[in-house]
Amino acid sequence: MTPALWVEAVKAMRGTATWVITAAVAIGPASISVALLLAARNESAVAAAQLEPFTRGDPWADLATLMGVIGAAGGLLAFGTYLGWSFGREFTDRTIGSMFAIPTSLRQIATAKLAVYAAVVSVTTAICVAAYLVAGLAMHYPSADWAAALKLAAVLALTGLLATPCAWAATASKGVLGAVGLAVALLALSQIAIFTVGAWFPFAVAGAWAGLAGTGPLTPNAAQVLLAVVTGAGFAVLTVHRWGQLRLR
Amino acid sequence: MTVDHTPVLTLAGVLQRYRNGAGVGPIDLSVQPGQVHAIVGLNGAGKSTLMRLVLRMIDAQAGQVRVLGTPVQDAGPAEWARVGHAVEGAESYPELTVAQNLLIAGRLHGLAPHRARMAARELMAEMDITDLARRRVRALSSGNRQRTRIAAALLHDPELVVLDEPTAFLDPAGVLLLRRAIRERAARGVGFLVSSHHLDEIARTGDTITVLNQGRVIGSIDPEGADIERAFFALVHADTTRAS
Repeated sequence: MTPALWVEAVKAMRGTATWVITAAVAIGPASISVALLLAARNESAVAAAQLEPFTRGDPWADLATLMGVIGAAGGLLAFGTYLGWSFGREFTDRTIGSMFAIPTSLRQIATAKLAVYAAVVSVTTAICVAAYLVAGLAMHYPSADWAAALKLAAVLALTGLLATPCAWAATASKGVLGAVGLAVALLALSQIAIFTVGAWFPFAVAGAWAGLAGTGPLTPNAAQVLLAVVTGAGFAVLTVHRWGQLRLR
Repeated sequence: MTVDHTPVLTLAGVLQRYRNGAGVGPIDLSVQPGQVHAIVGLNGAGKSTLMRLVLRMIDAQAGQVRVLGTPVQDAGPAEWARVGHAVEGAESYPELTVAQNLLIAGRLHGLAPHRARMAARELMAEMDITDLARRRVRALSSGNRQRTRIAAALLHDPELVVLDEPTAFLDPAGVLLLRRAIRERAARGVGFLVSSHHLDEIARTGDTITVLNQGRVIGSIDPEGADIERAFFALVHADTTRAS
């Protein structure tokens, strides 16, 4: 493990933000979905009305849809906040100065931050999928739907990738709030995009893909998914580049 | 024994001025191996800006900074591994312990894990913070935070050390520890660029005292002189009068 990766891993492991955000995205979608489904089962009219747009009668697929839609929206906020903390805290905690004039370059540090972030997203996704299977089995659904589980994992991983502009925003604004603000803005714009340009808005792709287990009219095509992947990866590259050029006043 | 007289730090005609006139330059100064070069000046004199230029936190508009003989814009891992600093905006991580912060500093300065652990132990002993090794930095007093930052600047055995207001928050015992740490290393050939408001302390630690006012070098003070404070204010007053 390179020094930068080790250092960023230590900081992430000791950071409260890492654990709160991982727990929220890993457990949140399953908890909310199960609560809604149980309420609907107990003939709650409110719960039934909320579930109506997401359900087609296949219990595993419906659970994956619910968790995916919640995970895509909540995940964008949560992952964006994590990236805001990871990159922005160096400025707000005034630790950034210690990253200058050392043999480890700023590019290496930014790359290490993104690598640790990828690990956080991977672990979160794995726990979320495990929670999906546990929730379905606990509700006595028939044999597990592995294709739906895989799609849920892909939706969460894509959500993680689509949050990378928040790392760039934290760097550009030299703080945490720029990243959080951008995450909120992207989420709001994604909702507007659903009724306008659809999945051509890259940040709406994960949610659109999750909807109706990826079988509804808004399901993104391959080009739209590719655009989303390129957008997320592009902002990761831009963030590393910006760190390489970083100067303080 | 041969002594290398190549300066560990050189600033030649370095200029960085902001639109409001603040900043430094043009400025010339150097730090020789084994020299403690102190910079003194009033608030806003440009001491911190000068140090940021040396550490490439900002780029100069003109002139050249050479670190260990290499132009600062070309300095790479080999040069920066031999530089240590504790300047404004280089705080320790509050949620990490003292030992973790020092390990991080050691690893980022290129030390292998085992060497970083050893160096952290040595510097905690030198700065008398061994008992605080497992304490989170956020729970420390300002003085002990400062000791931690100084330890982080020194633990990889640098040849050039840049310290901005290192005596700030230190109690008298901490000031003595710092003075000894600087003088022992200077005797081994380490060059120091140190800024401070504490004129008495600077007189005890520094070999050369350069006075900065409004971003310019306006003179130097003899550290052996009888009344450092009077000499400092005489220089500043004369410069301010000349400028107005």
